[in-house]
Amino acid sequence: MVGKSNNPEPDLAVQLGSVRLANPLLTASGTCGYAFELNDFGDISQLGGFVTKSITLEVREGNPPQRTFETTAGMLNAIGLANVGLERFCEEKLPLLKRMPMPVFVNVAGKTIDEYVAVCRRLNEIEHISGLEINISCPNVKQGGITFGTEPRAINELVGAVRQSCPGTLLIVKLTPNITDITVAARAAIEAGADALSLVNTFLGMAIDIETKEPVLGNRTGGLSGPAIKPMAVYMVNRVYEQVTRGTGVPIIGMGGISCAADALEFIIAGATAVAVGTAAMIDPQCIAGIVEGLKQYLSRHGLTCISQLTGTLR
Amino acid sequence: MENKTKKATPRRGEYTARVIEQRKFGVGHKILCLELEGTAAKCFGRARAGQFVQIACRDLADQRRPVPLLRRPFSIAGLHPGGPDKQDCLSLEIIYRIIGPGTKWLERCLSGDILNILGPLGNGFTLGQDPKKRAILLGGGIGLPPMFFLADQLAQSGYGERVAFAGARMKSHLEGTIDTRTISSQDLLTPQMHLEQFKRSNTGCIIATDDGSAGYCGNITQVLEEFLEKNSQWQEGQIYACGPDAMLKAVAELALKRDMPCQLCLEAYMACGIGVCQSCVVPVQNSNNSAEEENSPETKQYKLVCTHGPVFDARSIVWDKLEAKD
Repeated sequence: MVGKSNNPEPDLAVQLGSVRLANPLLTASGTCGYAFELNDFGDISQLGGFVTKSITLEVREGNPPQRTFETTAGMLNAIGLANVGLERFCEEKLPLLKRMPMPVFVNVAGKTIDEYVAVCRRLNEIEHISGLEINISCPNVKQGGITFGTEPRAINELVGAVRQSCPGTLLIVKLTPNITDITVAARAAIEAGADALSLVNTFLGMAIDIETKEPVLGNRTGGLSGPAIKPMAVYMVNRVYEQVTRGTGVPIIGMGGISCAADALEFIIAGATAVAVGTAAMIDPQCIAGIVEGLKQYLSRHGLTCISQLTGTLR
Repeated sequence: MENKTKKATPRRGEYTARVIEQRKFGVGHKILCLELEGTAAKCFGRARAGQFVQIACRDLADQRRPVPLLRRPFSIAGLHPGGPDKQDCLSLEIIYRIIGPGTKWLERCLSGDILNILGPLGNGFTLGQDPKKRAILLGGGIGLPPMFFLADQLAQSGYGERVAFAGARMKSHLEGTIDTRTISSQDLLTPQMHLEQFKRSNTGCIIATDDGSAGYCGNITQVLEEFLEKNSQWQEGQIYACGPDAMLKAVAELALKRDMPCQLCLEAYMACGIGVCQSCVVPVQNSNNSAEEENSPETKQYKLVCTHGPVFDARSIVWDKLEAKD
């Protein structure tokens, strides 16, 4: 270990399809808003890429409160894709995102295939957007979202339609873990033209107020995130990597409970090319810089020159 | 460019704060004093009453114990100069109720411990447009702390006369701050220096307890109603209030009925506190709020308590919907 100090700075760059990231750390959609919210608290320029909150065609108010609830080492949320809608996103949020030094990916959600296509087509015209993340896994809305994400045929149709409407764009498909076999969904997305997969969205959950016997969340159920889900998310990434993507070369963006470099490294070793930090960035925006630094230190310590060597090295 | 941004005092940030002391406030409540230095002190020097901090109630560096996961929001109860040998420091006062794992962890903190805080967050009270306007401060239960800070700021800014109303379930909840010698049964409606935290800004206070164990027996709106009937000069006043939703709703109705301007500081279940997670929504009227529409995702009906608020104009809140969630 001692003799490694002469090594040059390890290379953290990774390739997501056609897009190069200076390091593998992204934000998980929805947990870092439209980026400017975090500006006062942490150095987000350290990120390899930024993924926005879900954008839908029309403005969405979101679900009735209560929308979040803390569980043991986790957080349940049922926000319901509250967002400003496509037009206001383009007018108000995009100018700030355009100033970001790293690639920006916009997460897209919708109720129908036509809606997804309309939003993607519009965003595809914007130069500074490096790619689109298709959310087919939101557990908190009645129409769209997860209903597209659990049926291989629906995934195929939706991703295929978006692919056709945005031929040259990097297309990331975000999958739900709330499915019997996630490899089926992964295959369907890749067959329809996905360039990368985001694994995973939140796990469905519920919390009950035992005094009133009512669910705590206004939406009754929500999606669980945070450290509590990390082992399950690592498992899903590894399963998809070994059974689906290792052969195809489609990169995985691993996420679910990452709050430090060690967490990120587990996902990478399991098979992820890039990783995303969500709940943790919201609690401690400064963790972003810490994770990037921790990755560098790990590579130096293990005598690795670039982080892409580490993907899928699980023994 | 970089130097420029470094020189300017940031509006808010993630800072460390040193625990100076903790002492009892009332049964089940504590006062926590934190020392802020350097940029944090400068930044908080501009904080306004009604703003809050998000405290990590755990060691963020200890990844194996991410419990309690989320930060906990606390109103700023006061900001005091650091003392003669610590002129670039600021002492930040928080008053909290020991209620769950976060506040239990906080209670165990000792002098010298370092906490990680985000702040100052949200938008505070707007001090009256008319400096001569009388200020009526209402604080119910754990809604009292921002009122203490507001009284300080009104006093420092040289605004007009002010009176505070402090509501609590029972006397013991105010123990440690209440001066029972000043309370007599004859003049329950005369403002007196009953509470330590109001006394420091020379703010007279009227106390109401649910069980009548101190001051007026009844709720804070009833006592305000009676006070206004007997002291018509206060009917022109500006109302500032913080407390449980039921109290705020009653205060809002009173203000509307009497056509008095009224600002409410709301509480909501919060995750991030910085406008990202979209958890802490409050239903609002859809009209004439365009001045506030700037940062966070705007929706037709909901506003975020953390970034649009926590202070709202009483007329903008849709109470039926707020109650429906309970």
